[in-house]
Amino acid sequence: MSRFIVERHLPGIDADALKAAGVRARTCCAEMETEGTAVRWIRSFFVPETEHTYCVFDAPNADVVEEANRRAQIPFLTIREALEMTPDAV
Amino acid sequence: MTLPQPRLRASNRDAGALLPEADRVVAATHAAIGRAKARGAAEVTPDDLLLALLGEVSRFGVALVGPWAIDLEALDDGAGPGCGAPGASRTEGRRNAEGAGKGPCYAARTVRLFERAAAIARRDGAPATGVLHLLVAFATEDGLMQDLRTRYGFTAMEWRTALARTAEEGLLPVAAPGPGLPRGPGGGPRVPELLSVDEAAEFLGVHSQTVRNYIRAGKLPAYRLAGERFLRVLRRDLLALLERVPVEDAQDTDLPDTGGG
Repeated sequence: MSRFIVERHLPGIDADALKAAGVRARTCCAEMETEGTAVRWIRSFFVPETEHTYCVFDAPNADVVEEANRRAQIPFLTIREALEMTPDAV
Repeated sequence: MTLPQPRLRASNRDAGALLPEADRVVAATHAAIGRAKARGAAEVTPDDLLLALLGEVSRFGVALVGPWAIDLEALDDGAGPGCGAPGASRTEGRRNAEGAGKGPCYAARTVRLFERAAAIARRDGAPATGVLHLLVAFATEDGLMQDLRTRYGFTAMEWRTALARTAEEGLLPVAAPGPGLPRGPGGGPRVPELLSVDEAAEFLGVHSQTVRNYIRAGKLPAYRLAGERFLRVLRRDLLALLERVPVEDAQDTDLPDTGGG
Protein backbone atom coordinates (compact mmCIF):
# COMPACT_ATOMS: atom_id res chain seq x y z
CA MET A 1 0.00 0.00 0.00
CA SER A 2 1.21 3.45 -0.87
CA ARG A 3 -0.02 6.81 0.21
CA PHE A 4 -1.50 9.27 -2.28
CA ILE A 5 -2.54 12.90 -2.16
CA VAL A 6 -5.53 13.85 -4.25
CA GLU A 7 -5.64 17.55 -4.98
CA ARG A 8 -8.94 19.17 -5.82
CA HIS A 9 -10.12 22.64 -6.61
CA LEU A 10 -13.72 22.98 -5.50
CA PRO A 11 -14.76 26.58 -6.04
CA GLY A 12 -17.83 27.64 -4.12
CA ILE A 13 -18.15 24.37 -2.24
CA ASP A 14 -19.83 24.54 1.16
CA ALA A 15 -19.51 22.42 4.26
CA ASP A 16 -22.57 20.33 3.39
CA ALA A 17 -21.27 19.43 -0.05
CA LEU A 18 -17.88 18.54 1.45
CA LYS A 19 -19.55 16.31 4.00
CA ALA A 20 -21.68 14.66 1.34
CA ALA A 21 -18.58 14.02 -0.75
CA GLY A 22 -17.00 12.43 2.31
CA VAL A 23 -19.91 10.02 2.71
CA ARG A 24 -19.63 9.05 -0.95
CA ALA A 25 -15.86 8.60 -0.74
CA ARG A 26 -16.25 6.38 2.31
CA THR A 27 -18.88 4.24 0.64
CA CYS A 28 -17.02 3.87 -2.63
CA CYS A 29 -13.83 2.83 -0.82
CA ALA A 30 -15.82 0.30 1.23
CA GLU A 31 -17.42 -0.97 -1.96
CA MET A 32 -14.06 -1.43 -3.69
CA GLU A 33 -12.66 -3.20 -0.65
CA THR A 34 -15.46 -5.75 -0.87
CA GLU A 35 -14.47 -6.29 -4.49
CA GLY A 36 -10.96 -7.09 -3.30
CA THR A 37 -9.34 -3.76 -4.13
CA ALA A 38 -7.66 -2.27 -1.11
CA VAL A 39 -8.29 1.46 -0.98
CA ARG A 40 -8.83 3.66 2.01
CA TRP A 41 -9.65 7.30 2.44
CA ILE A 42 -7.55 8.43 5.39
CA ARG A 43 -8.33 12.13 5.83
CA SER A 44 -8.78 15.39 4.00
CA PHE A 45 -7.76 18.99 4.43
CA PHE A 46 -9.77 21.80 2.94
CA VAL A 47 -8.05 25.16 2.56
CA PRO A 48 -10.86 27.76 2.48
CA GLU A 49 -8.63 30.54 1.17
CA THR A 50 -7.72 28.71 -2.01
CA GLU A 51 -10.75 26.37 -2.09
CA HIS A 52 -8.32 23.53 -2.62
CA THR A 53 -8.75 20.20 -0.90
CA TYR A 54 -6.00 17.70 -0.21
CA CYS A 55 -7.18 14.17 0.44
CA VAL A 56 -4.99 11.37 1.69
CA PHE A 57 -5.69 7.87 0.38
CA ASP A 58 -3.97 4.54 0.88
CA ALA A 59 -4.00 2.26 -2.16
CA PRO A 60 -1.72 -0.03 -4.16
CA ASN A 61 -1.54 2.45 -7.04
CA ALA A 62 -2.89 5.73 -8.37
CA ASP A 63 -5.38 4.07 -10.72
CA VAL A 64 -7.22 2.59 -7.79
CA VAL A 65 -7.43 6.01 -6.11
CA GLU A 66 -8.71 7.48 -9.35
CA GLU A 67 -11.36 4.80 -9.63
CA ALA A 68 -12.59 5.45 -6.08
CA ASN A 69 -12.86 9.18 -6.82
CA ARG A 70 -14.63 8.56 -10.09
CA ARG A 71 -17.22 6.36 -8.42
CA ALA A 72 -17.75 8.90 -5.66
CA GLN A 73 -18.12 11.64 -8.30
CA ILE A 74 -15.63 13.96 -6.66
CA PRO A 75 -13.66 16.01 -9.20
CA PHE A 76 -9.91 16.25 -8.81
CA LEU A 77 -6.88 17.91 -10.38
CA THR A 78 -4.06 15.49 -9.61
CA ILE A 79 -3.33 12.24 -7.83
CA ARG A 80 0.26 11.95 -6.66
CA GLU A 81 2.14 9.50 -4.55
CA ALA A 82 3.30 11.01 -1.26
CA LEU A 83 5.68 10.19 1.54
CA GLU A 84 4.53 10.81 5.04
CA MET A 85 6.60 12.22 7.85
CA THR A 86 5.56 12.64 11.45
CA PRO A 87 7.44 14.30 14.32
CA ASP A 88 8.02 11.03 16.10
CA ALA A 89 9.32 9.21 13.03
CA VAL A 90 12.18 11.43 11.90
CA MET B 1 -13.84 18.62 21.48
CA THR B 2 -15.13 15.16 20.90
CA LEU B 3 -18.69 14.39 20.02
CA PRO B 4 -20.09 11.18 21.39
CA GLN B 5 -20.60 8.65 18.65
CA PRO B 6 -24.32 8.03 18.58
CA ARG B 7 -25.14 4.40 19.23
CA LEU B 8 -28.29 3.28 17.61
CA ARG B 9 -30.92 0.70 17.60
CA ALA B 10 -30.48 -2.52 15.79
CA SER B 11 -31.34 -2.74 12.14
CA ASN B 12 -32.95 -5.75 10.55
CA ARG B 13 -29.49 -6.83 9.44
CA ASP B 14 -27.80 -7.24 12.78
CA ALA B 15 -30.51 -7.96 15.28
CA GLY B 16 -29.18 -6.87 18.61
CA ALA B 17 -26.09 -5.11 17.32
CA LEU B 18 -25.67 -1.37 17.68
CA LEU B 19 -24.26 0.47 14.72
CA PRO B 20 -23.03 4.01 14.52
CA GLU B 21 -25.33 5.89 12.19
CA ALA B 22 -22.54 6.72 9.76
CA ASP B 23 -21.97 3.01 9.21
CA ARG B 24 -25.65 2.51 8.49
CA VAL B 25 -25.43 5.14 5.78
CA VAL B 26 -22.44 3.37 4.30
CA ALA B 27 -24.33 0.06 4.46
CA ALA B 28 -27.33 1.59 2.70
CA THR B 29 -25.34 3.37 0.00
CA HIS B 30 -23.31 0.23 -0.43
CA ALA B 31 -26.55 -1.63 -1.12
CA ALA B 32 -27.51 1.10 -3.61
CA ILE B 33 -24.26 0.55 -5.50
CA GLY B 34 -25.00 -3.17 -5.43
CA ARG B 35 -28.40 -2.55 -7.02
CA ALA B 36 -26.89 -0.49 -9.83
CA LYS B 37 -24.29 -3.19 -10.41
CA ALA B 38 -26.91 -5.93 -10.52
CA ARG B 39 -28.68 -3.95 -13.25
CA GLY B 40 -25.41 -3.55 -15.08
CA ALA B 41 -25.91 0.21 -14.88
CA ALA B 42 -23.08 2.73 -14.98
CA GLU B 43 -24.71 5.04 -12.48
CA VAL B 44 -26.27 4.76 -9.05
CA THR B 45 -29.61 6.46 -9.54
CA PRO B 46 -31.76 8.09 -6.84
CA ASP B 47 -34.13 5.08 -7.18
CA ASP B 48 -31.30 2.69 -6.29
CA LEU B 49 -30.55 4.80 -3.26
CA LEU B 50 -34.19 5.09 -2.17
CA LEU B 51 -34.77 1.34 -2.36
CA ALA B 52 -31.55 0.67 -0.45
CA LEU B 53 -32.46 3.21 2.26
CA LEU B 54 -35.93 1.76 2.68
CA GLY B 55 -34.32 -1.68 2.81
CA GLU B 56 -32.10 -0.45 5.62
CA VAL B 57 -35.10 0.60 7.72
CA SER B 58 -37.29 -2.34 6.81
CA ARG B 59 -38.32 -5.44 8.63
CA PHE B 60 -39.50 -8.51 6.74
CA GLY B 61 -39.61 -6.51 3.53
CA VAL B 62 -41.82 -3.79 4.94
CA ALA B 63 -40.56 -0.30 5.71
CA LEU B 64 -42.70 1.50 8.27
CA VAL B 65 -42.58 5.23 7.75
CA GLY B 66 -45.18 7.05 9.81
CA PRO B 67 -48.61 5.62 8.99
CA TRP B 68 -47.42 3.97 5.78
CA ALA B 69 -46.27 0.38 5.54
CA ILE B 70 -44.22 0.38 2.37
CA ASP B 71 -44.07 -2.99 0.72
CA LEU B 72 -40.56 -3.18 -0.69
CA GLU B 73 -41.28 -6.17 -2.85
CA ALA B 74 -44.10 -4.43 -4.70
CA LEU B 75 -41.94 -1.35 -5.02
CA ASP B 76 -39.00 -3.28 -6.34
CA ASP B 77 -41.11 -4.83 -9.09
CA GLY B 78 -42.12 -1.38 -10.25
CA ALA B 79 -38.52 -0.21 -10.31
CA GLY B 80 -37.36 -2.12 -13.31
CA PRO B 81 -34.67 -1.01 -15.69
CA GLY B 82 -35.29 2.39 -17.15
CA CYS B 83 -37.07 3.61 -14.07
CA GLY B 84 -35.54 6.87 -12.98
CA ALA B 85 -32.91 7.15 -15.67
CA PRO B 86 -31.40 10.53 -14.92
CA GLY B 87 -31.60 13.20 -17.57
CA ALA B 88 -29.16 15.41 -15.74
CA SER B 89 -25.53 15.65 -16.75
CA ARG B 90 -22.81 14.01 -14.68
CA THR B 91 -20.53 16.07 -12.53
CA GLU B 92 -17.30 17.05 -14.17
CA GLY B 93 -14.92 14.43 -12.82
CA ARG B 94 -11.62 15.16 -14.46
CA ARG B 95 -10.10 11.81 -15.30
CA ASN B 96 -7.87 10.21 -17.83
CA ALA B 97 -10.81 8.75 -19.71
CA GLU B 98 -9.47 5.35 -20.73
CA GLY B 99 -12.24 3.19 -19.46
CA ALA B 100 -11.51 3.73 -15.76
CA GLY B 101 -13.06 0.90 -13.69
CA LYS B 102 -16.10 -1.28 -13.85
CA GLY B 103 -17.96 -0.05 -10.77
CA PRO B 104 -20.88 2.34 -11.20
CA CYS B 105 -20.54 5.93 -10.03
CA TYR B 106 -23.16 8.17 -8.46
CA ALA B 107 -25.46 9.98 -10.86
CA ALA B 108 -25.50 13.77 -10.54
CA ARG B 109 -29.01 13.66 -9.07
CA THR B 110 -27.84 11.16 -6.46
CA VAL B 111 -24.93 13.44 -5.57
CA ARG B 112 -27.39 16.30 -5.01
CA LEU B 113 -29.46 14.10 -2.69
CA PHE B 114 -26.37 13.45 -0.57
CA GLU B 115 -25.73 17.17 -0.38
CA ARG B 116 -29.32 17.93 0.56
CA ALA B 117 -29.16 15.25 3.27
CA ALA B 118 -25.93 16.72 4.65
CA ALA B 119 -27.60 20.14 4.86
CA ILE B 120 -30.61 18.64 6.65
CA ALA B 121 -28.30 16.82 9.08
CA ARG B 122 -26.46 20.06 9.83
CA ARG B 123 -29.68 21.97 10.51
CA ASP B 124 -30.68 19.07 12.72
CA GLY B 125 -27.47 19.44 14.70
CA ALA B 126 -26.57 15.82 13.95
CA PRO B 127 -22.89 14.87 13.99
CA ALA B 128 -23.24 12.77 10.84
CA THR B 129 -25.62 12.33 7.94
CA GLY B 130 -28.08 9.61 8.87
CA VAL B 131 -30.31 7.23 6.95
CA LEU B 132 -33.34 9.33 7.92
CA HIS B 133 -31.70 12.53 6.69
CA LEU B 134 -31.23 10.88 3.33
CA LEU B 135 -34.84 9.71 3.31
CA VAL B 136 -36.02 13.23 4.16
CA ALA B 137 -33.90 14.58 1.30
CA PHE B 138 -36.03 12.47 -1.04
CA ALA B 139 -39.28 14.25 -0.11
CA THR B 140 -39.73 16.21 -3.34
CA GLU B 141 -37.80 13.86 -5.60
CA ASP B 142 -39.48 12.42 -8.68
CA GLY B 143 -38.98 8.94 -10.14
CA LEU B 144 -39.68 6.17 -7.66
CA MET B 145 -40.36 8.66 -4.88
CA GLN B 146 -43.07 10.21 -7.02
CA ASP B 147 -44.60 6.73 -7.46
CA LEU B 148 -44.44 6.26 -3.73
CA ARG B 149 -46.26 9.53 -3.07
CA THR B 150 -48.96 8.58 -5.55
CA ARG B 151 -49.27 4.98 -4.47
CA TYR B 152 -49.53 5.71 -0.77
CA GLY B 153 -51.20 9.08 -1.23
CA PHE B 154 -48.99 11.44 0.74
CA THR B 155 -47.35 14.78 0.04
CA ALA B 156 -43.69 15.70 0.42
CA MET B 157 -44.54 17.59 3.59
CA GLU B 158 -46.36 14.59 5.06
CA TRP B 159 -43.33 12.43 4.25
CA ARG B 160 -40.99 14.78 6.07
CA THR B 161 -43.33 15.08 9.02
CA ALA B 162 -43.73 11.30 9.26
CA LEU B 163 -39.96 10.83 9.25
CA ALA B 164 -39.50 13.52 11.89
CA ARG B 165 -42.09 11.84 14.08
CA THR B 166 -40.59 8.43 13.44
CA ALA B 167 -37.19 9.75 14.50
CA GLU B 168 -38.68 11.26 17.64
CA GLU B 169 -40.33 8.03 18.57
CA GLY B 170 -37.06 6.20 18.09
CA LEU B 171 -38.69 3.64 15.84
CA LEU B 172 -36.09 4.13 13.16
CA PRO B 173 -32.47 4.84 13.87
CA VAL B 174 -31.40 8.44 13.55
CA ALA B 175 -28.25 10.33 14.36
CA ALA B 176 -29.33 12.19 17.47
CA PRO B 177 -27.38 15.28 18.44
CA GLY B 178 -26.69 14.16 21.97
CA PRO B 179 -26.78 10.82 23.73
CA GLY B 180 -28.72 8.34 21.73
CA LEU B 181 -31.84 7.90 23.82
CA PRO B 182 -34.94 8.58 21.78
CA ARG B 183 -36.45 12.02 22.21
CA GLY B 184 -40.00 12.39 23.46
CA PRO B 185 -42.58 14.83 22.18
CA GLY B 186 -41.44 17.45 24.68
CA GLY B 187 -37.88 17.22 23.39
CA GLY B 188 -36.74 15.41 26.51
CA PRO B 189 -35.59 11.81 26.36
CA ARG B 190 -38.42 9.34 26.01
CA VAL B 191 -37.16 6.38 27.95
CA PRO B 192 -38.57 2.98 27.07
CA GLU B 193 -39.63 0.61 29.84
CA LEU B 194 -37.14 -2.03 28.78
CA LEU B 195 -33.54 -1.02 28.19
CA SER B 196 -30.39 -2.69 26.97
CA VAL B 197 -27.28 -2.49 29.14
CA ASP B 198 -25.89 0.35 27.01
CA GLU B 199 -29.15 2.26 27.16
CA ALA B 200 -29.35 1.73 30.90
CA ALA B 201 -25.80 3.05 31.25
CA GLU B 202 -26.77 6.10 29.27
CA PHE B 203 -29.91 6.58 31.32
CA LEU B 204 -27.92 6.48 34.55
CA GLY B 205 -24.97 8.39 33.14
CA VAL B 206 -22.50 5.66 34.04
CA HIS B 207 -20.30 3.30 32.06
CA SER B 208 -21.96 0.15 30.74
CA GLN B 209 -19.44 -1.90 32.75
CA THR B 210 -20.84 -0.27 35.89
CA VAL B 211 -24.31 -1.46 34.92
CA ARG B 212 -22.95 -4.99 34.39
CA ASN B 213 -21.31 -4.78 37.81
CA TYR B 214 -24.65 -3.80 39.37
CA ILE B 215 -26.26 -6.80 37.68
CA ARG B 216 -23.51 -9.15 38.81
CA ALA B 217 -23.64 -7.79 42.34
CA GLY B 218 -27.38 -8.44 42.46
CA LYS B 219 -28.18 -4.75 42.87
CA LEU B 220 -29.99 -4.59 39.56
CA PRO B 221 -32.32 -7.33 38.25
CA ALA B 222 -31.74 -8.22 34.59
CA TYR B 223 -33.83 -10.15 32.10
CA ARG B 224 -33.23 -11.98 28.90
CA LEU B 225 -35.82 -12.07 26.15
CA ALA B 226 -36.56 -15.60 25.07
CA GLY B 227 -33.87 -16.72 22.66
CA GLU B 228 -31.95 -13.47 22.84
CA ARG B 229 -28.39 -13.11 23.99
CA PHE B 230 -28.71 -9.60 25.27
CA LEU B 231 -29.67 -8.56 28.75
CA ARG B 232 -32.45 -6.12 29.36
CA VAL B 233 -33.29 -4.16 32.44
CA LEU B 234 -36.46 -2.45 33.53
CA ARG B 235 -36.54 1.30 33.86
CA ARG B 236 -38.24 1.12 37.23
CA ASP B 237 -35.39 -1.08 38.53
CA LEU B 238 -32.96 1.63 37.47
CA LEU B 239 -34.95 4.23 39.35
CA ALA B 240 -34.98 1.92 42.35
CA LEU B 241 -31.19 2.18 42.45
CA LEU B 242 -31.51 5.81 43.45
CA GLU B 243 -30.77 6.47 47.08
CA ARG B 244 -32.05 9.51 48.81
CA VAL B 245 -29.19 11.72 50.00
CA PRO B 246 -29.57 13.39 53.40
CA VAL B 247 -29.96 17.13 53.07
CA GLU B 248 -26.64 17.95 54.72
CA ASP B 249 -24.71 15.75 52.23
CA ALA B 250 -26.34 17.16 49.17
CA GLN B 251 -24.03 19.37 47.21
CA ASP B 252 -25.83 21.36 44.63
CA THR B 253 -24.12 20.15 41.51
CA ASP B 254 -26.97 21.14 39.22
CA LEU B 255 -28.72 18.87 36.85
CA PRO B 256 -26.45 17.53 34.18
CA ASP B 257 -26.93 19.83 31.24
CA THR B 258 -28.34 18.48 28.05
CA GLY B 259 -25.48 19.78 25.95
CA GLY B 260 -24.54 16.23 25.12
CA GLY B 261 -20.78 16.85 25.48
